[in-house]
Amino acid sequence: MSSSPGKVGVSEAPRAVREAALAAFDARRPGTPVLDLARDLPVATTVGEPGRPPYRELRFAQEGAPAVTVEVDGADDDLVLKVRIEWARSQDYRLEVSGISGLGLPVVKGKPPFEVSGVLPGLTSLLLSTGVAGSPDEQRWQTAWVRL
Amino acid sequence: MSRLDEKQTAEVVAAAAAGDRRAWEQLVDAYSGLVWAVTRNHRISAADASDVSQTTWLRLVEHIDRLNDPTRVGAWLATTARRECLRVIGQARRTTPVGTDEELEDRAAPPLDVDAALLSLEEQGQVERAMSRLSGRCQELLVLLMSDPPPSYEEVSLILGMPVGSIGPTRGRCLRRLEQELAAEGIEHARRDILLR
Repeated sequence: MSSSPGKVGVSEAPRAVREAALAAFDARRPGTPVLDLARDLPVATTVGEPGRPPYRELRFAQEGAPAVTVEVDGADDDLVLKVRIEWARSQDYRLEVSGISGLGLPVVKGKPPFEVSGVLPGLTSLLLSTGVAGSPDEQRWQTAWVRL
Repeated sequence: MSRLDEKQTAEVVAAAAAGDRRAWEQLVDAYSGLVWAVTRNHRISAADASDVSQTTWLRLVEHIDRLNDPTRVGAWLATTARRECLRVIGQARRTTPVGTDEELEDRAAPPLDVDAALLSLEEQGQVERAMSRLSGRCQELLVLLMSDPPPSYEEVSLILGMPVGSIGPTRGRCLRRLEQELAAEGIEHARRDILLR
């Protein structure tokens, strides 16, 4: 239970860091429930594929909401996301992949699983919805932000 | 950095949760230095620290209307930043296992000593019971100081609202009290020394 104090005190954050903190507010989606990040693991490749990096598996969940599993693969500047959605109800979804910079917004529709290519690396959140957009039966969720 | 008292903090958090950007700016003014200090204290690169800092603020955006105690948003941010730092460090340490089955087996973790693990679990229960009998203030302080790496006293001061000068003496009193409670749990003197080291 060692508790010697660290050497770094509280100081001003650099301007870019402060601006990024301010920008986080603009990324909010009021009224859209957040699926929290429940798992973030690299999945090791087999011994037969030396040199191939592990792909990454993310899982997002929240009580009373769909569970979303995202497999991240592909090259650094062209990520491929394989998205599985588990929920009691089987239905069509609309999936939007959004970056904090606002760049790259692939949208897919239909029944999962989905495969989305051309995703840019960076802070990313998936926006998931069912039902007719804008209608009372529309339901929306977003995943927690993660850096891909 | 603009200090906020408990009442102001609760009001500012509520306003930000309701969509008031000016309130969000007040939170950033009050706590961006703390979040930055926590990330830099983990000795991760400046780029990773920037990422962690932004992710921490995004986590607050995601959870701001779900905070158990809005007056403790500073502690929440510090804990979240620390958790995100550990995630970054954990990701950097992970490597791809490449080699033959025999080579991989040689590098595998040693077999688990079940007896030792059970003893550890039993001790963990004893420590948790002992901790639960301490005052809330002592529990908060000791848990915070047990973080790895431990926060600086300046961070502790900001998170718990304690003067820096009182942290050391309070920690000493809390540890003495914890030792008494560990003794009451039947943990022997030599073992208590190790646990409290």
